[in-house]
Amino acid sequence: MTGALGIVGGGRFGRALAIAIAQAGRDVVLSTRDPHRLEGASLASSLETSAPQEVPKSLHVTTSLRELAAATRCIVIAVRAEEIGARSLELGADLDGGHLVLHALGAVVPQDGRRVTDVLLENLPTLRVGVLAGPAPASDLLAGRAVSMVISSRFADVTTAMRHWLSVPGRIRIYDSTDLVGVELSSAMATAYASGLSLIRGSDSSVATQALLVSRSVGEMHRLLLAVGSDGRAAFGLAGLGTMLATANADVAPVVSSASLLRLRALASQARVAMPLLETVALVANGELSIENAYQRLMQLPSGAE
Amino acid sequence: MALENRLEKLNSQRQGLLDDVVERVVSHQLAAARLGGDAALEYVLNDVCYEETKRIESAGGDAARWSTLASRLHGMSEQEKVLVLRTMVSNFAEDIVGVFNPTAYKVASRVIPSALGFLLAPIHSLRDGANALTSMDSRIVVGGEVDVIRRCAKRGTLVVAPTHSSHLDSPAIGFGLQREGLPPVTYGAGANLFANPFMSYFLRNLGAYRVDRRLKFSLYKDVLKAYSTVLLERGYHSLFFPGGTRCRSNLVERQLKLGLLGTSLAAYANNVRAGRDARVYVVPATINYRLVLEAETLIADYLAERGKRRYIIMNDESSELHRLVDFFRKIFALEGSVVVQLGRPLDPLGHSVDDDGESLDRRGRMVDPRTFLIDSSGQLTDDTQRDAEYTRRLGQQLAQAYVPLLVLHSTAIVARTLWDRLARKYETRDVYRLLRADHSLPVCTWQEACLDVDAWQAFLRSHPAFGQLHTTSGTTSTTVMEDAMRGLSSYHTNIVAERRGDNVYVRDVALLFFYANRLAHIERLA
Repeated sequence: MTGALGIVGGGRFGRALAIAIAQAGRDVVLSTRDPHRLEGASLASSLETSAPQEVPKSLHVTTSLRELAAATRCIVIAVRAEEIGARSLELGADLDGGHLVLHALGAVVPQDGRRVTDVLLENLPTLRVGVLAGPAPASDLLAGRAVSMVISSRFADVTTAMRHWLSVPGRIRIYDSTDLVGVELSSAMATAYASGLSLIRGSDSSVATQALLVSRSVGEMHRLLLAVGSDGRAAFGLAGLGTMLATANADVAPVVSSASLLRLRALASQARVAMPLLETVALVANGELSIENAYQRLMQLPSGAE
Repeated sequence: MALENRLEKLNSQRQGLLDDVVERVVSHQLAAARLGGDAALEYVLNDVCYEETKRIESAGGDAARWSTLASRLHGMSEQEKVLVLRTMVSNFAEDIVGVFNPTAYKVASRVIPSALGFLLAPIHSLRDGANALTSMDSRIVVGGEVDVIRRCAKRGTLVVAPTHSSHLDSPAIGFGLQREGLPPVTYGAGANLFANPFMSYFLRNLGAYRVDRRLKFSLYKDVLKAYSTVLLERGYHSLFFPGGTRCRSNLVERQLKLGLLGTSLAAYANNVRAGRDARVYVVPATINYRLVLEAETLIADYLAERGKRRYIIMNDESSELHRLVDFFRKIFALEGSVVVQLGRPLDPLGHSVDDDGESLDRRGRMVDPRTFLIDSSGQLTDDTQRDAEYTRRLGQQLAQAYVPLLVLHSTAIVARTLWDRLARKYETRDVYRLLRADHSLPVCTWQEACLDVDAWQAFLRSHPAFGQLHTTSGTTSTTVMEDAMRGLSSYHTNIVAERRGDNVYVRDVALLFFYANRLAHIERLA
């Protein structure tokens, strides 16, 4: 493999992915605003892991997006959803039509509810964009535990090239999907549902209750995906169900901003799809409903065909 | 100064073009056949035999030649199949490829418009006669980004991609381009048009190529696409109707056919691979008629088929000479009866271009279209799936470009006004229900219609993204109404709508629906 893989964003996932890929012997350029987070002792503590971390030699850290753009053709963006507009615009100044870009945000844009790939298509010169999603917690990546992710793009060459970069035998399994809308939205919704699951688990509810919530969450996701033109299968795959389970059970509790939940609810409303679970998660997250009352609310809803 | 007429080289290059087309299609088929499966030569050839047998027999003809060939295929050697393939492709290509006759072009572009103007204008005096000779200029109005298109034509090859409402579209846009000093274009004309000897002579000799839409098999489409690609690579400006056939419903095309459109990117990519610095530009255009020649047949077909495009209309108003003359007399009697609006060109990936033909991304940054053809290792690659995605995007951008280029005549605005009133009266927008309703009573008063027209004009003036008002049909709602009523009662077999006293009556719901559809992209006024 010639060149290097570019990763934009030095948050937990960005750093963990960069380290995991570099540990496989591949050249990686990580652009981060705070390169100190990858220096010495601060690396382990900032990643909230006790495992000793060394920055592999093939990982080059820079603050310069220009340097990243010049050194790489394949780029993964892993910034916070709130920053995607500004960061992609900045990155776009240094890219050309030959760059291949995935985002790993797992969200819609909180400011306006747009899909992240739409923002990328507006702000980047390249048209070959896609999404990276799936249950790959940063802690698992760093500990060398096997994880799996799914890449989706309208362009087969994006999927092929990124699969080459990101697949690490025994550590990172990569699947692909042509359902860009499905994978992107599933990933965004899965985190929201995971936060609800996490809260329920924390209140000692039964396994049956958790099972009900998981399966009905997937059902809601599936309904929304069908309404927006997806074939719906992503709800049951790595981006949907997979992400939901992994995120709900992660060491670090999932955080979903009110703005994101608001946008997802608006999307459901626009698509005229009833999503009572999502609504309930939003009310609990906003402090408008207690978990007990949330449960009661859900149990009083009519149950129809599955 | 008029731009270079590249079509003048067509005849001298004709054999070379044919040979190139045949070689490409045969090579492509053989390469695919090596992978086996459905691409095996036997299946490709059998597909042709099967489709031709079905077509000819359903028309009552003798398809023995094709069924005999089909029965022999299984026993043929590979060499024999290749020979059959080559012969078929050569025959299709020969049938498709046009010629260019400079004399015919001179006649068509200079003499005919004046002669038609003279023949068809109301002549009451010598002055009328003199005016009529030069009057065609004012009947067809061309607007839009002409200067930018002229610069792009010097820099690269144009693909003019207009909306398609009528068989008059090709001569209208051809005349419009020529009058603006833009280069002549070659284009695919339906085989049914060649049945008219008058049109056939001019079509053939103006570089038009013959497209037989009855031939459904993929080999024929491959030959067409190869010919289009070769033409564009060699710099022949072209015209396609991305909507395919004439739009039966008069809706602004949204779902475009991508087959021929994709040849713009194929040609550009081939140029890049060959080291030729020659851009390809796709020019969105709308052709806006006050009245559409074939409206009655088109809407009847649409309503009968519910929008399906399986039938090719062989005979309609355009093939009846007296209807053609009648149309020209009544419709072209008015200035600005046909408005051709040319948009800012797009590159083959759907990017807009600046005034010098440089591609711009959505943030207005200059982009080099070549970079979109390189892979992750920086190499120029031939990637069919990637290019299909780019063409899909081009199709979307083109469809979006059409709407602001619409020029809305009084007939469309008034038809939409009356349609909305009709829908409100019967509490449905279902055309089939409205067709069956009783229209003996007025749909509204004249004053109510004028108020609605006022609202439409105000909306369109403040929302140019939805289309532009046609200016010569009048500025007040009364003049717009009067102009529309004249038009809607002057040409078609049935009167579409009429005024009686203070009331307005709808007489032909289907035609009203047809003309109202030109504003169907605007759901409702607030």
